[in-house]
Amino acid sequence: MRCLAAALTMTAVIVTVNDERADARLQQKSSAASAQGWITFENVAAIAGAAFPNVNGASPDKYLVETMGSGALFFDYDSDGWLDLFLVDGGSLADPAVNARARHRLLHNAGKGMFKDATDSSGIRHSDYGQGACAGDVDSDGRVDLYVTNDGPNTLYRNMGKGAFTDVTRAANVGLGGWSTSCAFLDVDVDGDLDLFVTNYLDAAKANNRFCGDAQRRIRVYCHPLVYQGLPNVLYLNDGKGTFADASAQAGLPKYIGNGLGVAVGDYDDDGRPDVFVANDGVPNFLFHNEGGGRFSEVGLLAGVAVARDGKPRAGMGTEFADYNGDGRLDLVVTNHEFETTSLFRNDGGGVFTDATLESGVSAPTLPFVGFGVGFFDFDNDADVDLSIVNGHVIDNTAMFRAGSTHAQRKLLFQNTNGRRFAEVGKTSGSGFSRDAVGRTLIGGDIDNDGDVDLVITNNGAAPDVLRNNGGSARSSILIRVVGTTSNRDGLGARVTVTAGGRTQMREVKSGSSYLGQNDLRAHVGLGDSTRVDRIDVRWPAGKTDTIRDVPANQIVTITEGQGITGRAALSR
Amino acid sequence: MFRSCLALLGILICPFSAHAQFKDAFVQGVADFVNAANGLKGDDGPALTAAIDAMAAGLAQWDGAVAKVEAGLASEIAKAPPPVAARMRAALGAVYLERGRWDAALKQFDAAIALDPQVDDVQHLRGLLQLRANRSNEAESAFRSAFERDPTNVTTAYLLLRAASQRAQAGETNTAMKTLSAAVDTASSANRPQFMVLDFLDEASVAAPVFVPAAYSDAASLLAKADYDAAITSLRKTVAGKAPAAARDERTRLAAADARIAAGDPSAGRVALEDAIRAYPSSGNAHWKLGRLQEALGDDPAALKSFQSAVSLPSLGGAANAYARIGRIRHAQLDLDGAVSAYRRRVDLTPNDSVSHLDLGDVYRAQDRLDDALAEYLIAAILDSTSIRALATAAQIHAAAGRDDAAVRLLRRAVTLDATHLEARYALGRALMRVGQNEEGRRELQVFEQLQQKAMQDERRRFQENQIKIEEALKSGGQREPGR
Repeated sequence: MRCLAAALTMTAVIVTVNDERADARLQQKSSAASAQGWITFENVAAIAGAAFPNVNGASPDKYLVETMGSGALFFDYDSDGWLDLFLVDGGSLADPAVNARARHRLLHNAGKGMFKDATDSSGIRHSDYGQGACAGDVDSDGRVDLYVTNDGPNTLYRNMGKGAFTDVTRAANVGLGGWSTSCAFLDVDVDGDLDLFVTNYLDAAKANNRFCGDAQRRIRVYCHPLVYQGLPNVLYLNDGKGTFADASAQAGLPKYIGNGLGVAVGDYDDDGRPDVFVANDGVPNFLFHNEGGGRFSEVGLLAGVAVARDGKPRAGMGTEFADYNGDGRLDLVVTNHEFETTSLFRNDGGGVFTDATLESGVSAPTLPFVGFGVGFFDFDNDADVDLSIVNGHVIDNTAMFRAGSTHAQRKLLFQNTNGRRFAEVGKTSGSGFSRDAVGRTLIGGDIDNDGDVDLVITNNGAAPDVLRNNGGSARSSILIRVVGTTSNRDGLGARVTVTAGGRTQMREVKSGSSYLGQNDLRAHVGLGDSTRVDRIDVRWPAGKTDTIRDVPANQIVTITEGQGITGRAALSR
Repeated sequence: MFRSCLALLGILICPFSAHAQFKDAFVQGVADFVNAANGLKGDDGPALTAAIDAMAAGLAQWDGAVAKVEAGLASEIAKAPPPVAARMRAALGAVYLERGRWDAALKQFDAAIALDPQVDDVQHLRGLLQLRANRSNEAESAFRSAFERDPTNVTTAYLLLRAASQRAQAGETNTAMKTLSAAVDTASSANRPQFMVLDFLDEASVAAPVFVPAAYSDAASLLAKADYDAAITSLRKTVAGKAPAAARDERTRLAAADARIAAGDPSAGRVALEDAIRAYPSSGNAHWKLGRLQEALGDDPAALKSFQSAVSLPSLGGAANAYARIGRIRHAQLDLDGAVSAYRRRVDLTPNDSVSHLDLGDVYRAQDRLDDALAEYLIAAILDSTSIRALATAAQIHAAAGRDDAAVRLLRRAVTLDATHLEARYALGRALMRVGQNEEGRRELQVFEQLQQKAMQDERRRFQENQIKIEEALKSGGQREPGR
């Protein structure tokens, strides 16, 4: 026994030394990039311990699910102040042996963005073909829980603390079957607990698989979604104890059959209730306006977000709400198929959006790509939100059908130039952005707590990219974690408004976003050269607003509902 | 002013000219030659010789007419007051322009301007000549002068916008755009403007490129350059040699390819055309036919190469059709610069064709060149006042620039022309709401919603029908349907 104990100690020492070396390498990269001026991104997935390949089960049968995933999310499951990472794995419909290799990964952030695989001890197990994930504290116990969507029954894992999760799907009544994609926790009825919205894609079960492609040459491709029937979205209402009831019917959802892929939650009309946007693939998008009392009305067409400027529906994939032009209203982005361009909808107020894709500079750069994950983040901390999109063709053999078309595609990074237009700078933003891949999810969060936004991108059939932001932290920022007391504990739906250096910026705290994923729940706000924040206003879902004045920049603050700042931590720079 | 059209390769084409009466006989001779060379006149030997003789006689008649004008004006110019002399020189320049004597024409235009800088139309013509000579700065300057003199001239406004693309100053762009916008508002078939074309025949009247067999390609090249005397000399020499036999052989090979394609064996047709190209690399007809076949077979990359080969060879008209195909393929391949290049060449050849401008505008829009796109859409709407596509696309650019009133005006016209046009209906509804006409906007969106639901049902049905076909084909082996 003593020998064994000594060996274990030695192993731990070696791991620590290796981590320190890796950390030193990361710091060197960061310093070098900062010296060059504009920010760059480096893929540090291998060094950071996150390079687990995605099992997509790609097969000659071309089951559509093989090309659609998988997702990822950021959450701090052990509340240690470091952002942890969850990677959803796919599986295989064609080959049980391949399916057996699929494993979701719970990666614990041991500090400064160095991850350790904590899956085995977590109790999280791969079951059906995995798609997306969202996280929220469904039982208000202070620990964030995890929901995984599948092509097959979904799974809710209750966070038991100390890194352990328990599958409570059956008891919680959220094991929806069929093909679910994105999900989001939100407090629909503003009763202080988290409800759950799940979007569903198609009735393309294994038994319903169709042949698409060139029948004569027997060249098979993944099918267009219109070959299958769409599915309705589902809303689960929480009873406050983490048990849910399917409230879709009373919410008015079942009659809206879409091909849902992406979900974004945001109070776009500023009425204090969270609304839900669903990006549909090949049919008009849905904007479910929250009427209160757990009821929605679908207003996508009238609001101007159902279709693109030309009146045609697009192949909606990923989506995100954010205020890109600083007018205090949530705008909306939706990624689409090649030749369609991403859609950027500017919120003009009064519940109406204008398709601003053309005039914003987003159109031409996105035209050649099949867009999936998307996020608005202030990458360079210059006090406005930039935009990033990851791409990758759905059809793996696309080059056979269109010269020049590629399966792996490059990522896009749009710098917000003046609040109205974006300039695409991906090619000059470091090696992390120059590599072609079959990108799917994009999530943003500050994995090293240095005050700038890093990215994790999942790649279909390959390891994810962990793109560390080098240089963003040269400017000031603040990270704000909100904790609800009367409102839901995660503060989902809280509107955080930060005024500094004469600029006011708004963030809304939200669960699921992008495509099959979820960002850091902490609100990241770039502050430019400001060293202090004049005021922070938090409008809580329950209705009250807390105002905190004169806050030093470059720190992580926790604001608790009704109590002001209850926690501070320095940035790790 | 327009003479009657000619039968060429079994189709009617029209000479483009304001002075066509002088060149009638020559053009008829060229048409006869093309028909004979392509085997439409039975025994092509005597027919070729007769056609060349007709060309020579026609050219002599034409040159005689030009000389008469020269002589008549020469004595008058010297004694006329400057403004009158300027108009005379302008008229003489126009005669040279028609004859293809570009340098002589330019000299007369320059002289006319020196005598009277305000003389009508001359700067516009100078601009066209400079464009033809690839002197873009000089062309831009000429169009700018012409536009300053007459800011209501639609064709000049367009040509200035195009020549000064991305370099024009904001004020100038706005003024020229206003001219085009005003013309869109009053456009009708009755007041349709006409761009002057310096080429031999009006491209818009030709459905396919007009090639002669490879044996005559040198002469065709000279004809395309308006070097008519040299062309006739070349033809006489060529026809006296082995060219007619080679042309017959080329035609035979092409006919064999046509027969195989018509018999339902496109692979054999493709092989025959490739063989013809190996034997006659300068056969415009073979490259063109091969490109069409490859296009029909869905092999766009190969078709692109064939069409590019075709346009590199001299044609006597109809090259715009090949450029249209090159533009389409490059656009589909997202080679947007390449598509612009092809579509611009097409517009050069067929400036009076609305669709040519629309296609170019679409690529500009894809490149975020919104002002350039708007100029193309507006001129398209002016050239074809019933083009819903032109109205709707121009309106979209106006809307993107925040000019919602202008967008509404165009979109109202579009939905009047076609009440079921989805894009126009939707864009109108949105624009109306942005200008505060919410009630009417909502009504438009309701109509749109019904139309769109129907369109979606149709789309879904098409997918289902395709799927049935694919699954039937799987059993018997056929049918191609890309997934997405």
